[in-house]
Amino acid sequence: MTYLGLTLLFTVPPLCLIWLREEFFAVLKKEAKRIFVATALLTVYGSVTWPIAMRWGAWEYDEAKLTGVRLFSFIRFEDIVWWALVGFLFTSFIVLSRHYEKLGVDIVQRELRALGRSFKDAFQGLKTVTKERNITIHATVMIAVVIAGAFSSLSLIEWAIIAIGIGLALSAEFINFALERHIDALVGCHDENARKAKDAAAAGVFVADSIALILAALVFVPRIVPFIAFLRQFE
Amino acid sequence: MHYPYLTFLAIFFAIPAAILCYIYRKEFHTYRRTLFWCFVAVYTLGIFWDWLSVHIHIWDYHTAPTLGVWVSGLPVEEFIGFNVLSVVVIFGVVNGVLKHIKK
Repeated sequence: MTYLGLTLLFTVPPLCLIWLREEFFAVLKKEAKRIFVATALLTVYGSVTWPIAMRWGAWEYDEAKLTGVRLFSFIRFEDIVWWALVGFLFTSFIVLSRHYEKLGVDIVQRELRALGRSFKDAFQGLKTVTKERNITIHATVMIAVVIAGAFSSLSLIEWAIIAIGIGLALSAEFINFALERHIDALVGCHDENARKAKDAAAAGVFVADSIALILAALVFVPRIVPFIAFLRQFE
Repeated sequence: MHYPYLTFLAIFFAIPAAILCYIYRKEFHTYRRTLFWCFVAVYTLGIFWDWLSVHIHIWDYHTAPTLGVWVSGLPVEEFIGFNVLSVVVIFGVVNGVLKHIKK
């Protein structure tokens, strides 16, 4: 990983978290000019002072991790990008947080609480669905597959395939469950369109289960065939 | 030069931080929650980023004399000095721009 790569990795995702939210974007758009000015000031200041630190020997870069591009032959391209992105990120956050703080809202706390509530609802949902017949069947098969996998010396890739199959089948069943309950709550069982919607959802579960079965077969059949051949020796 | 990093921080970050803190002391007080969350971000994501950069050899602090106190593989000048002072400078600059530049 290079200096530039790590800078992008640590700044772009948080920037997306801030700028892609419609609610936040509406606030930041109004301050776009000032955000740009602050970012530009910080970029210039940081980019010009850091080469001084380097010249004094405060720290050193590994040249292999750099592009080698310099502005005016002493300002590194990566340092400019670092200050631009970090400056932009902090400026955006400060502008946003100040806006909400003026309204008496701690935006970080609000978002963390909402995230916590989402997780709480998801765990409550898990508790609800695990009591259903189809889910218990899926969970039983999942446990059997995991036990078989544990005693079959699966590679990392094979475990990943198994995980994808299990995730696919369980997710489809959870969504089917939610859809069925929602339709029943809205229109009951006797509506033709409602019946078709439920059938389509059930078909989705069937497809997901079939794919999961194929994935499991791809992993386990090559192991079962030699085992059956071994057993036949004793016939 | 003795302690080049400390000298650099003193001249280019401590002095501007002190000036900005004084000029915009009202904003530093009014929006202290925002300032708090900036420090939280620096001392979680920022420290991890810095540690990782040293760990995979993007940059190195062993090239020059430091104060000799190391925290999580980072010199105290970086762990406390740069992280605190840079946040104060950035916060001061942003508040200054928001106060003096029209929308």
